[in-house]
Amino acid sequence: MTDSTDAPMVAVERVSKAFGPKQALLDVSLSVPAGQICGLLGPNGAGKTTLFRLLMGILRASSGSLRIAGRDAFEQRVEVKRLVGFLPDEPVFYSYLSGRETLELSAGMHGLPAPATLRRLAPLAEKLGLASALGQFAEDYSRGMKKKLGLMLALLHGPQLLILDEPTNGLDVEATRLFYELMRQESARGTTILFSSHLMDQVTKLCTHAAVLHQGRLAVTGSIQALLARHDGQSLEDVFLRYTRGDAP
Amino acid sequence: MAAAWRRAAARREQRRTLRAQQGGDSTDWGCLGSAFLLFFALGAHGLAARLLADVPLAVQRAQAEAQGRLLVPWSALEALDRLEQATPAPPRRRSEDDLRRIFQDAGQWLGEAKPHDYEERLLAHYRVRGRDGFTTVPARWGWANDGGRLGAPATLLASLVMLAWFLGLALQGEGVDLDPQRSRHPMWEWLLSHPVDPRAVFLAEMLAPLAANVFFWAAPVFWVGAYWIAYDDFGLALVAGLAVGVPLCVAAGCAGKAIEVVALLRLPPRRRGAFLGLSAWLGQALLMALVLIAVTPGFVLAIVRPVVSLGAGAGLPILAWSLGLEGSPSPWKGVLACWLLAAVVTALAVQVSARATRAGLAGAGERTADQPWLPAPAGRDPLPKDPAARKELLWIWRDRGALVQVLLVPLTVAAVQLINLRGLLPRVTEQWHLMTGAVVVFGSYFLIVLGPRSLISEGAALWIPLTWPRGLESLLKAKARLYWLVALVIASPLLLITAIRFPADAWKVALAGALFAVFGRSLAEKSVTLVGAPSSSGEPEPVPRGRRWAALLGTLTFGVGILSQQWHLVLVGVVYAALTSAAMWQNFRARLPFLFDPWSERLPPPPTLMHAMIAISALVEVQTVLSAVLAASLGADRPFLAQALGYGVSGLGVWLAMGLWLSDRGVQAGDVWSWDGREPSGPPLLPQALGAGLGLVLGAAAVGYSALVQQQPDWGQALRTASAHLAAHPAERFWLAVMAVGCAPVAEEYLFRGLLFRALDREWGGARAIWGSAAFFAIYHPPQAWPPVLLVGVVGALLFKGTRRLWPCVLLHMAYNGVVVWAG
Repeated sequence: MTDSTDAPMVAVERVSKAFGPKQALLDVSLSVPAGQICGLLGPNGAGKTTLFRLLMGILRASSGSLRIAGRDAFEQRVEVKRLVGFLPDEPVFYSYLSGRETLELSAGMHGLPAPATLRRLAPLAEKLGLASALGQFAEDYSRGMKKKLGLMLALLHGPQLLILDEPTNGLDVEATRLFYELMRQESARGTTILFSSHLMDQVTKLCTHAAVLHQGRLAVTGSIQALLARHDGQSLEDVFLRYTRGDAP
Repeated sequence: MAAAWRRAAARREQRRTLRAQQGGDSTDWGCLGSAFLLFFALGAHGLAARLLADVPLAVQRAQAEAQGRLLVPWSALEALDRLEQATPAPPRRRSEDDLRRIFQDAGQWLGEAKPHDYEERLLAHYRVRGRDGFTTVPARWGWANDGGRLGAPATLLASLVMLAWFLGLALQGEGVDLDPQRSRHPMWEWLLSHPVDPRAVFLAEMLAPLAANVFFWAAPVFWVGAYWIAYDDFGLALVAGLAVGVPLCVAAGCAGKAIEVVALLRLPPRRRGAFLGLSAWLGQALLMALVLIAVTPGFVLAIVRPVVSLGAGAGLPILAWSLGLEGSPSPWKGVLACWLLAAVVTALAVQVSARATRAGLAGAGERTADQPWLPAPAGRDPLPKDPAARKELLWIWRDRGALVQVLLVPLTVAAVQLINLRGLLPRVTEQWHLMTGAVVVFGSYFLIVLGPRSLISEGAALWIPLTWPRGLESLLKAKARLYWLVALVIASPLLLITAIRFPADAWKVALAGALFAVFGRSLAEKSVTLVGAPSSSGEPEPVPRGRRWAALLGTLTFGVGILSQQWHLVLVGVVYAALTSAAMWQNFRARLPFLFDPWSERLPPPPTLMHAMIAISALVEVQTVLSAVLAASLGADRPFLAQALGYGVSGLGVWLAMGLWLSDRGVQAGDVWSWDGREPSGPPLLPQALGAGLGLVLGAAAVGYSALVQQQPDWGQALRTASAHLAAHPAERFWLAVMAVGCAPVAEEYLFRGLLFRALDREWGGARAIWGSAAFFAIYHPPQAWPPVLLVGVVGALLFKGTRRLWPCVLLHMAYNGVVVWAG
């Protein structure tokens, strides 16, 4: 098992994934250094969710390798899940559990003592404005509250990598700003963040790196600065459209 | 209607695709299945209608019996009158043959389960009461032509039948199968965003069940039957029944959909699924109950008697209105009344749905979680520490839909089976082992039904367990524990009733219950391995047939053991179920990562526990067939020779075949003959000498045990007969020794220790694997040899793991068998 500190946190090498006759990803290679924030961009159906599921060990790549902190994302998925926090696009919760019980359940399933974990998460709950609602059934939360609870679940076990699927979708302006702040704090702590978004402005503000997926292939990847510099100071939106419309050089 | 029809067809296509994805048969048997269902539905509605003839008859019978008179057909009463006029004689002196001729058809006419018993009752009654002890009814059919006056109890009960039929139909929904998660939101939001009247949208939506569910297609049969029974005119009944049946079907479909719309829009989220599940269950249960009452002799009378004795007089007007019995009876009055009723129900359903839509979605208020235990009062927390088990208990406690899924669905499925087996039920309650066996079979069936649906209750929240290390595995184990507990809670009172009914055999019932608890745990764990990933539409994936059969391994043996009071078979069932559970979980764990990715699924690498169990089962099967063939050809006087040769040849055959099969898959002989596939260090002679020495000691112990067993009358006699036979036939003894010392140890150690114990150690590990493999080894021997063989299995497993070599186990086995055969 490799656990070298100079290895990238996420190393995707020549990964392809097919679902029967349908090719979802084709020869994708991507590397995200530890502590960086990487935005994964792509039109609908580009393969972003498939890549996330591959990284979570829920799917197995048809070919190629995916490693997280040096561990094979599928073969060592149990260890990988200890390192990764995940937030889906539309988090849905058990209708019969309150927010607090959902957190307690997740802490238990990660092998963490529930009371200590809740104490540790209390400041975050206060910050997110969720503390007073934790006693309510999570299913009754608004969309934004569900996102916040999902984020708390993702952060609950102190992951080294956060995989977030359109995390600000459904959040109001204040919550979105709070989210930016949290992501910067996590990144400063050394957490690597990989998130998908359709908001170019958000990616430009928050990310150090970006990757564009188009029709299952990686169209372009690199640091934000390098991408913008390579395209004569165009906006990220222009760069994105250039690659996804197929008129890239 | 066309859109609804297309949606139903798409649902069938989706099921076919799911079967194809599982590698199963994708042939579309939909037409055949639909035809069968239609036939069943026609029968169900017809039987429900028959109750309208049975109920009035049963009421008149109950009323007559309350006055001390018995009911006979009109013809029987006429014949009795003729007989009395022709040959006047006191009832006691009347010829039995004459009376039997008169009463012979009465039982059948009344639908008695035992017509002969009723005939005897009539004879005895006549001797006491004479002609005055009997009465009759003018006609079972066509009572409307007689003025339509049925009396209050009959009108009330027949009206209740009609009401139950309507409710059963209305609550059917779109599918004929029970769907407790029926909370999928149709595309109302999209539909209602169009510039159309919402009532038109809902009317279109309400016709969906009519297109999808064959119970609606067959429903007019009920009304054809009802009019036929009331007016005894089939032509008239056909016209009136269809004229009434079709609009009432539409009304029932609309009413059901309105209930669904209101529940989805206005109920809080936690009650929504439960309400819909319960209503779907009620719909199925009402129709099933009508069928059950109609087909069970004596059931109608049993219901009617208390109503008559209570003198229930307030009749519901449903029967009179719907069949036109008010005033002077006329079917066309009934048709008009039904049209009016159908129009009112349909309009109300549409209106209610539209109003509910205008009121908007409810249920997302500031409700505080109902937390009966959390935080625990006074520091005590009655919930289990295991988080997954805790979650499952909270699910069943708080979500009413859980009761539908965990209790009502399996109980209903079991009830349908009870209808099929209703003829056996009276006999079952006559003996403790039959009653206990029935409880065990019911409990096992309950567990098997639950497992495959395990992940449905997770719904869209399934993403959460997928983020936990070993999340799905822990979750499914917790669900297995929950199902097991529920099965025990259901079985316990039934077993208690059995114990009270048969106090002398109470300890046997308790023992059977305790063994069921062990067996049920294994069965529950096997059952959850049948789970499939729920599709986005909520349709469960079909379970491959082979896997379903594997889950049932041991169940038949366990059930037959209790039903036939053979405790050794019960123990075989317990051990077999435990081992197949471990084998299925070993395979399932390898398959689990591919639950959502069946395209990437790989078979677990051989040799698995399942491979070992299949090889051992093959050994037993081949040996049985071969020994039977040899016994037939060698003659019945040489049973041991046939057995020895059969076992020797099959043992070596299976060993060689398994070796070749494994070799083709990259597993070499050395990988099996040593514990970890490597040549063990150290001198080989010492472990082998240890094995042989232990074999001699265990053999000597077995001889001592055999001497004890001979004190037991049955086993002792069998052993003495076998010893005498072998002493008289030295050639057979020689071949038995060759098999027992030369062949069996090699084959059995290869299979039981080399393959089975090694695989079980990976799954269970530690003492559980040692005792489990030894128990499996023991049950393949005659029950009288179980204790010493179990010990050989335990010592063999310890020796294999300790010396990391299989040969010492073979020598142990050889020495043990040698001593046992030598001692005779």
